[in-house]
Amino acid sequence: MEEKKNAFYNSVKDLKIKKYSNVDVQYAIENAVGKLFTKVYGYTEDFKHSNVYLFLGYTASIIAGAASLYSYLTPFENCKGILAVSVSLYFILCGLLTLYVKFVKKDEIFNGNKQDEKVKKSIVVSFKNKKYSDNVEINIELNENNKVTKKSLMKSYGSWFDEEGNFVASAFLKDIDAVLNKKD
Amino acid sequence: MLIESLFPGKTYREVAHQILNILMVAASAIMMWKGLGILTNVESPIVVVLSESMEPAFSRGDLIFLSNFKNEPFVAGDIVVYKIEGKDIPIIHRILKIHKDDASGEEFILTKGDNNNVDDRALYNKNQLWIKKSEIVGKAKGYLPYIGYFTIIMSDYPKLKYIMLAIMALMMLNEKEEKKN
Repeated sequence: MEEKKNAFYNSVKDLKIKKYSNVDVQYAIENAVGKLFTKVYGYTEDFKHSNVYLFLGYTASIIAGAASLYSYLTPFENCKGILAVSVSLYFILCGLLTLYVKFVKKDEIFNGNKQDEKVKKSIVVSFKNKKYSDNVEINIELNENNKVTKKSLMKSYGSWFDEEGNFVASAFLKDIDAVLNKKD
Repeated sequence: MLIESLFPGKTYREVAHQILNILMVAASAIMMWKGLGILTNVESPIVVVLSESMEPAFSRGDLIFLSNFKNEPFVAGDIVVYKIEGKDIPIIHRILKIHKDDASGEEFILTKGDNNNVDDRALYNKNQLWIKKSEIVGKAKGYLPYIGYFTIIMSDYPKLKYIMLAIMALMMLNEKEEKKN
């Protein structure tokens, strides 16, 4: 367990935020949660949200690039039809992407699963943070052989970052560990 | 590898996301521009006035919004942008006269800049006395004063473009330095 903990501490060694920047905090915690659950608890990360995002995004970008190139080479009158189709496709894909992020991905920052002896476990970690508040809500949904348990950690992120903005991995791990082991 | 030096400490997936963000900003801008072109039926629907030939209506540096809808007829008095066949420069002037050949439906258009003393025949091709509907890029529908001066300065003093790019690059490097510290 010690080496796993140390692997986690090492992996977030340079994690630092600009103080008071909630966006930085969100990125830092996303980063830390990913490394924590893979290195300490042995989950394999499921990149489904990232894959959908990258697929839709790059497809849209390729369509945009191809359409721009085509309209550069062909005179306007002739390329109008294809250009109209490409522009519509581009915005439809962007719309799909926005809908996906808003309604499917929502607040999830980590999806992972592992096989623990005979138990198939999957975990979903979500992160909520009100705009100018330092309180964050980390929700962990654990699915063990289709039995679902939900755990929640609400705390100020000030407890995980030192005065210079460096991430304090041990404090974070302690809090996550405590909330996972808490018996309802 | 090159990616590791440009994006230190990031996984390929994170790099892919960062590059995608930049691409989508650029792609959205381009697609909005092309989309505007499709909607207005004009290849370049926003142009900058470069000469004083349309004073006092338009001055150098004004931004003009164009459209070229199929069922909108051209009428004397319309301000249009046209490009003479074989010449690259678009000209923004007013339609003085239109003659329509009832048999073929073809239109013959004569233009003149408000601030010029003579009509545009001197600008047309040799032996061309009228311009055709197909040479008209679009009709002016609206304008914004002064905004276009930025592009005029950029093209008159190309060195400024490089200075601007250098400033933007310095700002980006500064942000990365701050993050490291």
